[in-house]
Amino acid sequence: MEVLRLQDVCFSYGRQMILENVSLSVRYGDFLALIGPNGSGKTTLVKIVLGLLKPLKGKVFLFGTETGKFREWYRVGYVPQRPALDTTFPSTVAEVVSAGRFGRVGLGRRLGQRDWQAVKEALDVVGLLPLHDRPVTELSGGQQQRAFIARALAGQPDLLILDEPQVGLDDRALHEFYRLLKYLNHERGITLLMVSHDVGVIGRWVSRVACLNRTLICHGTPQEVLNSGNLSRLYGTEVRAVAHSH
Amino acid sequence: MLSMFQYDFMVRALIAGVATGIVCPAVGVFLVLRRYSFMADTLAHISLAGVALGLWLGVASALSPFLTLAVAVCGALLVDRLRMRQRVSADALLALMMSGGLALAVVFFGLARGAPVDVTSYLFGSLLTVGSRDVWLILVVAVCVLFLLVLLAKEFYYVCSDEESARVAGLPVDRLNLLFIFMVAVTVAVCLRIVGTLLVGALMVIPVLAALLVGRSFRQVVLISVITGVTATLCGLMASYQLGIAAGGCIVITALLFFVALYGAKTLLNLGRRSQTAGSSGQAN
Repeated sequence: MEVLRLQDVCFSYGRQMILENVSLSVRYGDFLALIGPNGSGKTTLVKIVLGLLKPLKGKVFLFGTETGKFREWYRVGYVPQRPALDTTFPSTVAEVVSAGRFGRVGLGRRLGQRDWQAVKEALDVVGLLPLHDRPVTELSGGQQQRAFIARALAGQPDLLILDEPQVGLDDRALHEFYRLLKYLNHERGITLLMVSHDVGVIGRWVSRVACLNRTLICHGTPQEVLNSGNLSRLYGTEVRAVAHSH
Repeated sequence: MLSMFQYDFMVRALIAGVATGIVCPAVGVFLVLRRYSFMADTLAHISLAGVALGLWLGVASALSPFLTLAVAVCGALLVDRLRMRQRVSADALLALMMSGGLALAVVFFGLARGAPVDVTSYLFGSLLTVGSRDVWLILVVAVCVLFLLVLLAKEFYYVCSDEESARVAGLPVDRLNLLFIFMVAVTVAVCLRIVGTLLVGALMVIPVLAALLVGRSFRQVVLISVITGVTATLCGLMASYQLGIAAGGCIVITALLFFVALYGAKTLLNLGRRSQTAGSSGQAN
């Protein structure tokens, strides 16, 4: 089953083309990494998928419905780029995570018992349950990251979209983070779309890779895609092959 | 002290003061956290233009608060439109609208020369000029605004903390923003009778800044802001009565004292903690 389909999507800011004829499909259960250099249009593509930007040309389908007509936004979890998140905002971890239910609950309604149960479960999955009443400002970078993932999970999404979630994580936190994503993908059956400019260790964790630099350059399993030929086409310079064999 | 309750005007001022002290910081929490602290001041100056317009046109005193409200709301809608267009940066836009409002007010006051009104009571707030009609208007607006804030608290919280994600979650962010700026405009327009144009913004901002020093959750920040706001308003009104000084100044100075006290307490507490951890790590060595 198709979770997401992009059909000949084009986008420009003024005269500058950002995306040209991008077609891509994400199937149920995929763990797709969207990689490409800075300024390659990755974040723009994500914003189009989320309905925050309208494509100049082309169509985007979420769960088979065009994004303009799509109403079940609670099925899509979103973890924004970290610089976009205000981590000085006065909130406890539980308050941040509870916002993930708001899309499901409806305007002007209070969260019910089921909602708080979902919040608790999401906190448990990311291992933040013991810190639920701490202010987010007191958490480490990795813990803050997990709090925002928990917020997306609290809505019990079928598709989780993460925009450069690795930024600012050290090696250990990164490893933990990928393990969490793999767990969500394998055990919880959540389809994942992760944007990254890091091609380092991605190949070991994801099921598919798509390379974007204004157009879709290549697309397939990590073994097929992550070779030096494709990467130098993507980044323009010689990049060593980083597909990790198991 | 109790003698002040013998005067009707003082009882009216206290009732209006409590309402103002609750509603201003409650709205202010969202303004401060969205980094729109100057929005209240801007709308206050635009409201002042509304007051002055009423005087110039010779509008009956029963209707003039409604004219002020209407001008404030129009100003708010204009600010929101221009903010969406993004041709001017947000802070510059507020500066532009604020000076525009004040300039209009000065011109209208000038044209209305001879009107039997004390302009300073609008600038700095006054106890004597608060009529029973003003009190009713403040109460009605405060109740409506607080009702909306409570009803849509979670939506405003989400939009305020992460607008983009709120949009992705399917919340009607643009409409919520418009509603909110409308709520700020009506709050400012009615509350400036008590606190004054120049200081109504301060009552929206300072209690919140004080609360941010100590609040550990969003809920706590809202509660502490409101408690600080009400206490500062009541203490300020009493000081205003005792000393015969304009209400706005007394209220805002009291709020500032709360802020300074909490700031000092927090600094001392942090110093204490630091020396404690330094002491315990010294022992460990």
